[in-house]
Amino acid sequence: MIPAIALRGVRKHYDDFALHDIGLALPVGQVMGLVGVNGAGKSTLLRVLMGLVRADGGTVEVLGLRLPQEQVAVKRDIGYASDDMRLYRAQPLRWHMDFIRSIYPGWDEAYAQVLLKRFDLRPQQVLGGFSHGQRVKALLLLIFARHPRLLLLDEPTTGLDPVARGEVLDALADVLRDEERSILFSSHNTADIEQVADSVTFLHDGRLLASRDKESFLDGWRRILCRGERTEAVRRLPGLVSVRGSAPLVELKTGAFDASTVPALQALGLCVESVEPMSLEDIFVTTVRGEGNA
Amino acid sequence: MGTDLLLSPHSITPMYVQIVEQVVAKVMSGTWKPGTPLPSIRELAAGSRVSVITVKRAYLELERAGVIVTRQGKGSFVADALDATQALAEGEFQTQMQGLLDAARKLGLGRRQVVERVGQAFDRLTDASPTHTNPERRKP
Amino acid sequence: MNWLASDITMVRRLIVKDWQVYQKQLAGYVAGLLLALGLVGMGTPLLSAAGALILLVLLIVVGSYAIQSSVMAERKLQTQPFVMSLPVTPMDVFWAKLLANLVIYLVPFLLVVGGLLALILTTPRPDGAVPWVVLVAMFLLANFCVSLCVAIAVDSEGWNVFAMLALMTLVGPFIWWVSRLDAIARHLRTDQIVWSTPVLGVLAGELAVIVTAILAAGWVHARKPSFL
Repeated sequence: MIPAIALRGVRKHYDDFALHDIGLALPVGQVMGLVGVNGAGKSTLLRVLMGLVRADGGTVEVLGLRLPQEQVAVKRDIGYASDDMRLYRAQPLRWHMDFIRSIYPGWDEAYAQVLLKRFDLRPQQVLGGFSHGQRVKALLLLIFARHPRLLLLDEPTTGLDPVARGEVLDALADVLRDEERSILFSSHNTADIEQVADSVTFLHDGRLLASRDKESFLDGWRRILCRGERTEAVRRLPGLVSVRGSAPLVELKTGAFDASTVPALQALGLCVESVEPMSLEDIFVTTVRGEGNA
Repeated sequence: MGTDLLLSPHSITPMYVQIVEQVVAKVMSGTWKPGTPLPSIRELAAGSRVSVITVKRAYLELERAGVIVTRQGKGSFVADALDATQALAEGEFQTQMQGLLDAARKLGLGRRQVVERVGQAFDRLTDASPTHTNPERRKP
Repeated sequence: MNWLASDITMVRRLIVKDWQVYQKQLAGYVAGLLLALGLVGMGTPLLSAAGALILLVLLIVVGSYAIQSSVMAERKLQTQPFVMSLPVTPMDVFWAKLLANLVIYLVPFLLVVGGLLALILTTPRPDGAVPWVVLVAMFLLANFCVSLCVAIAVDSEGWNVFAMLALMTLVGPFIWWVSRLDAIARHLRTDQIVWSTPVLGVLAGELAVIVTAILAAGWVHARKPSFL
């Protein structure tokens, strides 16, 4: 089964930033969420996948086709939206819709009308008069309405009010129905990724920290409250990302939780009070902040 | 049959657990009778705005608990009545037992004390209920 | 490297897109050009000179406006990612930008030059001025092409503006030089249209500049590692 995306050893070097040896795969019919701070490389990675930026090394295959050689064929089947993308300010939304319709045979006018209502956009209004949220929705409408096989979305819900965010997630969920279509999106709203993504990829400083299916990824992370002492031995436990103490309690956050974790803690003299799963946001912040903490 | 469950991303309960709980509720209440086909994984995912993998996991848990059965190529169905109720009750028992042991640990009770206390509670139950006859009464 | 556009229909669509986006503003300039042409045709030396000056200025301005709005603005207003996300190769976009701007410029350009030539040939004015008109017109066209090619090839707004202004300042000196060129000056007041070798040489040079600029810009554009 040809994956929707296959990256191997992808490198890209800029003056003040670099992507190092990125390898990941997105099977067809799945949704992958890209998590990372600003500047971690999410946007660069998406641009490489779109052919907007040429990687310095490694292989990039999208929908089974090599980039940048087959970028035209690839771009026929992909929808891409990013925050630094703008439409023509002097032209109305309808002009853009007609322009896209003339290029892509997959344009679904009926669905476009549905989205116009759902997103509450006026087709005769020029893009210069759109608010930020309306502009984002307009961009997404132009993509969703042609049913691309792969969606590459850079921060699709960032800057949207909660209602608009819900509408975009609804439209994303519509794509889920089709097992031939895949989505890769990056987001600061980790709640979106937690809700809708099948797998999570964690980028930091241009490097891949993790790329796993969401459920097992979340399963490996726990926040553990114990009674006891924050000894050196405790701090050195493998997988521990954060240790905090406020006598008599000790709070541990680990990314390597399994059946042996609690017994190991007990063996070190800690009395385990509670073990809680962590939200993706908590995992994200803890990982970024906790480098070298434990 | 509605493919939308009442799921909330803001709840503390993990999403797949919510799905399991709500499917169980539908089965126990008789809304979904034995043999009823469950919505396809993708339909439920898209309709409830959750990821496919989460629904898959929920269905796996439900199958493991015996609440549903999956037939290759045909989808998932609510399991036969007897099996389902029995499996659900067993699951409930396991959860409660775990809760009991957690609470006991917090209290600092050891194995012997827990067993003793359980015995006492059981006795109180049988004492209070006249339809049960217990030939041997243990002293509290 | 693939020089040719991958998809002619896409190139055509991009050209139409540029035309639709910028046509309202261009209409204003074309009106101004026609007005200036009218002034030149009025006959009195003062109005003719005024008209000619306006023509010159407008032609230059139309050129730089077209380049600015269609090439530089695309980068500044960030519509470039939108265009590049369409099923096109960078060379498709190159040819589309080049042709769109050439067409947008050639319409008023040919109008003006054709009008001027017609005026000269059909009125009592000395026909010997025809080569002069052609050389100056071709210089303006070459000027425009080089500006356009620099704009497409180089992504820096600062350098683009610098190049445009620098080229504009060459127009005056060129006209001065061509007017003093022996092969031209000798026949300016006569009714003979003389295509002597020096004149043809200058013409060939102008055409060569245009072709080189296009080839160089295409080469640079194809090598870019990023198209934001």
